[in-house]
Amino acid sequence: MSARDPTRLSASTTPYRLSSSFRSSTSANPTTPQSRFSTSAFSSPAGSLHQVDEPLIFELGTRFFRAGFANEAAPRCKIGITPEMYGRVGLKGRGGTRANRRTGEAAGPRIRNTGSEEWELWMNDLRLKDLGVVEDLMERVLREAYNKHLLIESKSKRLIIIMPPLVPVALQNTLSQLLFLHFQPPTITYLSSPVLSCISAGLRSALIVDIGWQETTITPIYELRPLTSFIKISSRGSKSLVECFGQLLWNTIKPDGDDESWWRIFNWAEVEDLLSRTGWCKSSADAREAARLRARKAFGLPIEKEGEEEYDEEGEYIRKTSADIRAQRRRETIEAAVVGATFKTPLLDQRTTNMELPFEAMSVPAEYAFFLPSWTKVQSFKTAEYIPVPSPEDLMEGCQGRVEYEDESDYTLPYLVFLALLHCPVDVRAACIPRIVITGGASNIPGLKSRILGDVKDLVEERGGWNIVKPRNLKGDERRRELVEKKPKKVEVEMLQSEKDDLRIKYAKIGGVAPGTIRGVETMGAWAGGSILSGARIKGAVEVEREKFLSTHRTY
Amino acid sequence: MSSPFPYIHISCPCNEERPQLMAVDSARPISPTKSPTKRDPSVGLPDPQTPVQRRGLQPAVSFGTAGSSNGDDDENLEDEDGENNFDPRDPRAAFSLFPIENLLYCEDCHQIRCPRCVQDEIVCWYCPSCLFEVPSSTVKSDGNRCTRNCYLCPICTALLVVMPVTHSPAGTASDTPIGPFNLFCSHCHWTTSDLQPPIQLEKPTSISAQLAKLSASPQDAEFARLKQHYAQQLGNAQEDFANSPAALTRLMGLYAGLGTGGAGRKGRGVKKLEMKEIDRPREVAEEREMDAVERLAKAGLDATTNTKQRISQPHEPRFLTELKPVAVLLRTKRSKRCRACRHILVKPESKVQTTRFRIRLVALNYIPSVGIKRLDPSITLTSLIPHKTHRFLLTVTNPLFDPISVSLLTPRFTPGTEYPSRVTILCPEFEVGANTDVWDDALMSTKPAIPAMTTGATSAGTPRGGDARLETVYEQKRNYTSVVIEVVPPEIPDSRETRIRDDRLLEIPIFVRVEFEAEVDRDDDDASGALSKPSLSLNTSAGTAGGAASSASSAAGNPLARERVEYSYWCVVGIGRVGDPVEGVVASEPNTPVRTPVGTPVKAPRTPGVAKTPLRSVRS
Repeated sequence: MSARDPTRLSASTTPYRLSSSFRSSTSANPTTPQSRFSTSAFSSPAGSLHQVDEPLIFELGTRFFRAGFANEAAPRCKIGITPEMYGRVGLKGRGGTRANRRTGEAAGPRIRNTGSEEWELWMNDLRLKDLGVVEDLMERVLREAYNKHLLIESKSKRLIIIMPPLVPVALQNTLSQLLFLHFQPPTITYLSSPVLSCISAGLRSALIVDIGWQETTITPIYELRPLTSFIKISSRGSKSLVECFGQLLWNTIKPDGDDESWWRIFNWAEVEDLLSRTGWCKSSADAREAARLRARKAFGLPIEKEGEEEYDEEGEYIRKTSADIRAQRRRETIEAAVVGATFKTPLLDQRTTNMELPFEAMSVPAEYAFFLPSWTKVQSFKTAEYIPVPSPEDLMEGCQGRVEYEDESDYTLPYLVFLALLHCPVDVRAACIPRIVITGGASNIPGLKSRILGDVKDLVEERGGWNIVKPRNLKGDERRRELVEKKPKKVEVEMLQSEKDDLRIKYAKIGGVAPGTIRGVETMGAWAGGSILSGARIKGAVEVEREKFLSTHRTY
Repeated sequence: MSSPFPYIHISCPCNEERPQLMAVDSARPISPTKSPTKRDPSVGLPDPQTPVQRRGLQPAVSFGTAGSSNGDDDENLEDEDGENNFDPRDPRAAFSLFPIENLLYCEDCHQIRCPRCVQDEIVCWYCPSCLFEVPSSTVKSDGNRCTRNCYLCPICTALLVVMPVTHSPAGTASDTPIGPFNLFCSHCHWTTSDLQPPIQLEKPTSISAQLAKLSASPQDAEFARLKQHYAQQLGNAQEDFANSPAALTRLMGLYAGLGTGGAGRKGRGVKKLEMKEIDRPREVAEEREMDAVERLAKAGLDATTNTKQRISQPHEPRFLTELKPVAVLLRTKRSKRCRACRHILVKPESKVQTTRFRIRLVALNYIPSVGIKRLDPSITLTSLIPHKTHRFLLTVTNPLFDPISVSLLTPRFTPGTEYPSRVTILCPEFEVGANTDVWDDALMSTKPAIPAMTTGATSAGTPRGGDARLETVYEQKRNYTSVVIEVVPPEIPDSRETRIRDDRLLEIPIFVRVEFEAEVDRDDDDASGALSKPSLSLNTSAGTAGGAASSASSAAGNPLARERVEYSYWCVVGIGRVGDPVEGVVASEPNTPVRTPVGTPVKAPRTPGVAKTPLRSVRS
């Protein structure tokens, strides 16, 4: 078992065995000195502190690899993992996940149960994937980045690698080894992505909600230190988002009795592309209203007419504010819009399938993926009921009904954010509540961030603050009324309002927001954070040096 | 859609030297190994419906050489090489298989070098569009992109041309086109005037400078704000550190130890290291996000960018109207070094315009290339008939100026699949003539005839003849030799319902071993080594003793100046795709030895069980 060490590639392991004289002749030949970086081993840390050349910054995600230089606003290159990257050089048309149902052609060799794995660099469950393949693929990606986009000699640049918060150690080890052997950077510094997201939001404490591909990680950061023991993880991520969408689409056109998986019918890339282009998320108020209507339907109550909205319980006419009017107009625009999508479906009878979907439908996958209980059965776009009407029992019992199945992936995303805050130490919580940073791939979906924040706000109100003891659900009619009736519009008491204002003014003076205000902050992403950090010449606390690593991490 | 058959890929030997297990095995309960035969049976998912227990029936995948003359050798090979078979279906194999055109050859290591085992060094940077060389000092500051007038369409990536916005009347054209100008894509007719706000240039030249002034995105501004904030914070702290008169004492304190320095630092540090967060961080505003949704609803799908367009832009815009023209990415000319011995393998001319190379050691000139042809033109490669013996002509062409002796070894059954095909190379060991001048053949009438050649040439017409004749080469010409390879594909049940993997693809791994005597062209070769060597190499290559002897005798004139070279590599021949069974062609062939018909699994794969073994069956 030998590693890919440049010195080990030599004649001893080659099948080319010869020769006595030859081996001696190799060494006798003039060769370039091998250890060009012997100096770095002896250089003092101050030397690297004031190093003139700026490092390269790599961000490694499951789907995308980003690379660029320090002090730049955006990465120079973003490389997405595609099935073609798993294929051979010079052989096209292989490695697809789909086969023609009639001819059986071109089924890729590497498919597993979700069909997404050819779009990923690794899986968190490393048992499912050969680490060697990950290494090979990483090598391919890195080579492309260096040779095509960065156009720089890999040996000369220090590296800063941004890793997701909970990356398997085996993977990191593989990456270090690969880099040091093939690309030979002098040092590598690993940085954790939530801290950098925090930096690039301009904050020092924050709750980072990173909606990644495989999972969502919620990390509290306090004074730029990640509180790793309070991290919450949910398997609700961009991947489940695409999966929900694909399932919805396939349910729409599926003939009865066909139990084919959706990713064999549709191309992952097309489904994801459509979602990233037109996907959106309902606002918190709209979603609450929709849930209320579903609850009415579940209890068999009639749906109120539109006109009813304008009067409150006492029959008083409530004047619409301009914001209401704007929201109404927006709702009308959204209702009128349609999305015409075309999918390649070689497995079906028609080669392509055209679908005319209402724009409203594009908000449904986000509901399934992030805001509905995980046991909700995915419906279709055939009828207007995109989300199934829950059974009255489920409604009455709330989440408590299925408590035996619950884990953190089961919770909806806002609830998990709430829990993450709730479980933090109180000082950290105070710092984090007004600094919720939502980042990651799925956070680009318009409306998602404000939806999560809005739902968290509702949750806090519903639970009456940050009490760790959960209030019991109401019973019987009261619970039903809570679900079915519209909540009265809050008319805040004058005095209270002014009191709050005083508080606000007070805090504005010190420069901040009042504690307890749930506020989301935009970030520029982890890559930009790394760029700022390394641009400021802050030396990483731990640098992995090439010589040291290779002297301790021999794998043979 | 599918690649044209047949194709030949060569596996770079670096494949075998890779670490097969990571150092941190504790982190991986299941350690996937490279070779499927090394799989731990207790770990893999138990799959009762695996159609063929191939290993049970056939103890080891052996090298099937039709000539059973050296039976002892066969036995030995069977034991060892069942483990070492190259499996073209292994996921890692895709990363080490290359067409021969992509491979290099290191003359010093006598080894094939793939793109992974070379180290690149940049010779020069240039713009592929205007072929203008960019000096290395400005490459990075220019963002690795052409700073002249080369821009690409952000939608279709065609080259943009500069056009006046208003078309001048036909008569007054040419000389002085009047501005303003925009960039126009002649392929998809996109112009910079389509943007929001439109980009229109005053001059038709120095576009980069003009664009740089116009396009400042809000993200860039935000980034600058953040950077400034942090620089300010750090700057304050560092200023104190550097300029204050106490700096020296503080430093001394630091080095003196914690006692005195600690206290001093503490008092100061609280004040100094207090970092603030940025004023007015950008907040998430529901109104803004919902406006984006509304805009999306109004604009529709066609106004949004697809993934590819989005990725190629620095800030990933959502709408087409936010795209910016992309400057052409520079390219490099790179020289390549062998990672093992640091010798240069490829060195291009540093001038951009020339396509010549100073050094170029491509594998095509060093290793014999393998080609495959149908012997029977009625064979359709995309649907090979199960149970029928297909005969192909395997041609080995020698690019060297020395005659080589080649031995081809192949697993008797193609590995890595549950439906193995039987493969037989009828004449696995043969010689290939030197790549001499074409005229040498005609001029040199005294060339000794190789005995194998005579019978081989006569038997060309009747390949179905007796076994004795089939064991000879089929055709031998100046620098190539052809042998017959027989392939019997199995009947593969309709796996379309399961489609876990492409079982119908028929790829044959062939181990090619080449031996030849090369002239030693090294001056610093010490004679004693050269003396002791030939006996060694003859021992190791027992199988090809005959060939070795003949070539050794030809080189008997000056034995010191020649050395025996042997190398080997795996190559993969993609022959075709197995079709549906045909009536009348049955499993047992008259002239094949009676074997268990392992290639005819009957019932199992139709059951959906195969599809439901998600984890390990892929690698089986």
